[in-house]
Amino acid sequence: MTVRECTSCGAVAEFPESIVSMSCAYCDAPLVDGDRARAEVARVAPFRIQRSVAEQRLSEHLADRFWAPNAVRKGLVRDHKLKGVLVPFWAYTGTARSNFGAKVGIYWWKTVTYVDSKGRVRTRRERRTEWFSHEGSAIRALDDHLVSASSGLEESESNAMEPFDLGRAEPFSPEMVSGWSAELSSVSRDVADGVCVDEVHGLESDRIATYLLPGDVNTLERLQTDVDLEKAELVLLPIWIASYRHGDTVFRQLVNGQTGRTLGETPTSRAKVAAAIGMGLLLLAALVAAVQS
Amino acid sequence: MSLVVECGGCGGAVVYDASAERAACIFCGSPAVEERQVETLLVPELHLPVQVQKSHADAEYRSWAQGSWWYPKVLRSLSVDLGLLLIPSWRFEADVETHWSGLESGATRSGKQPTAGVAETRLIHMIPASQGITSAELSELEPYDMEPAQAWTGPEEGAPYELPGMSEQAARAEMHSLMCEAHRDRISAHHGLHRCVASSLVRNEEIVLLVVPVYIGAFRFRDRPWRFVINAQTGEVVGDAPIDRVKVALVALGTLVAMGLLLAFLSA
Repeated sequence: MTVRECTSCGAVAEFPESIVSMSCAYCDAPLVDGDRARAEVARVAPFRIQRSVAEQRLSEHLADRFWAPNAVRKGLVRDHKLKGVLVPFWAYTGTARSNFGAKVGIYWWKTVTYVDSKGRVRTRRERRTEWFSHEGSAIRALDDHLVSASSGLEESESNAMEPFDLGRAEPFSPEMVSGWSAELSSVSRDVADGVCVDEVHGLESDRIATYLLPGDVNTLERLQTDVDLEKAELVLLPIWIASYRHGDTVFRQLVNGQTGRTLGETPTSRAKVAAAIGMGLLLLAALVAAVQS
Repeated sequence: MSLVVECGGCGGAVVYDASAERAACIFCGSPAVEERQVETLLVPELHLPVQVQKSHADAEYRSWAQGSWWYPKVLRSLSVDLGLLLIPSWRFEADVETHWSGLESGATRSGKQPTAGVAETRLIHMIPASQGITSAELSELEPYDMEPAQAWTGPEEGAPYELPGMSEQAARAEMHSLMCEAHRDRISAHHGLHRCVASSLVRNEEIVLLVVPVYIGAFRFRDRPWRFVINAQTGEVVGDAPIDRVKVALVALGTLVAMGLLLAFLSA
């Protein structure tokens, strides 16, 4: 925990472990822990989607979630629950080199002679597959491959938020994060490196099996991928986040602050389900009564 | 005075006349339009001087227009006003390492067998940094000779210059896939492959934002615009020309009549 004095009202503000930008609890002035952030953050991509637009996207996303509680379906937007957060990501550059072994099948056509039902001798062409063993290699450049550096945002969620345009990112300066919530990395490089290498293995395996084998039909049998991570930079990327509790579970709605891409699971309202079942039962009872009379 | 206005809804950026009233974004209709300082203006480093004079370019156009009998007669006599335009382009020179797999001819049942390899080369490519002309047009206009390149000091009087729009990052992404394709096609041709799939690594890039001169001529024919582009350094003409439909119809009719006569002659 770092302690700073608010430059606006003089109150003492405590920055929690990984937070570097927030507002003063007393006077709401934006506070940035510039020294700590500058030491770690390489680049920041600013918000391009404003609050009103993010709210618009979120209400479109929630419009057809009929079973969600109304506090979620309508309330998140009505009560302006979206919070603009500059979320930390590790951006990797490097190279992945793969060697693979595969079975490659090539079609050929065989002319087959047969006797038809009327006893006449006929010929037809049948497709056959000739199989070959095939050894090859592949290469992939990692150019700002992103791994979530926030323990609050799962890697699957961050992948679903992509793509981000890092061409719009600029070197860190305190003004870029002022007024927004901004975090530092809460995922260590070791852990993030491991996630990155695993992701690249998966990507290469899919890419080679789908696009980089030459036959008409192919089976990837063996794959060895060496991932060389040259550099990882901490970048802050803009996401609108609305978190809320439903029962004991935390749910999140996310809006990409550059593209407006929206995602998030919604809980099912027990009250709505109960009401629907009640209505169904009433209808059934009315029907039975009508038939009996 | 003109202003760059950026839309907070979709991110589109448009240059507006400051006196015009600001309303909704022209791309997405969002009212969330905000005036912003342009982040970083892209400034070209080099430019290539005009080496083909307008009269010469006009002659190149005439000979292109007369290049095929199928072009309508009106195309040759049409008076087209050639306009000089300075186009910002990204020029990339880079090492490309390509890992490929393919099917070569062989004594097998299908006549093909798989093969694989690795090849390295250095490639040069240009893509336009503006909306003025397409990548396809520019690549057909290539090569440009870099020998006479000079430092860019701003557009000369009377030569409209298009502002670079495409960032280096965006250009790099497009360039990498173009270079991978180009190298793959070259490998495929060199080894006589029936099919070729490849992955590439692009390294040691030299990237220059360059201004190249072109003449553009546009004309309307059959209710649509047609456009051709002339390399103002070499005189190379690139463009689609309309085909004379009357001529096509006459030739088709002529062939049918000839065939009919032939048949009649044979049966008689």
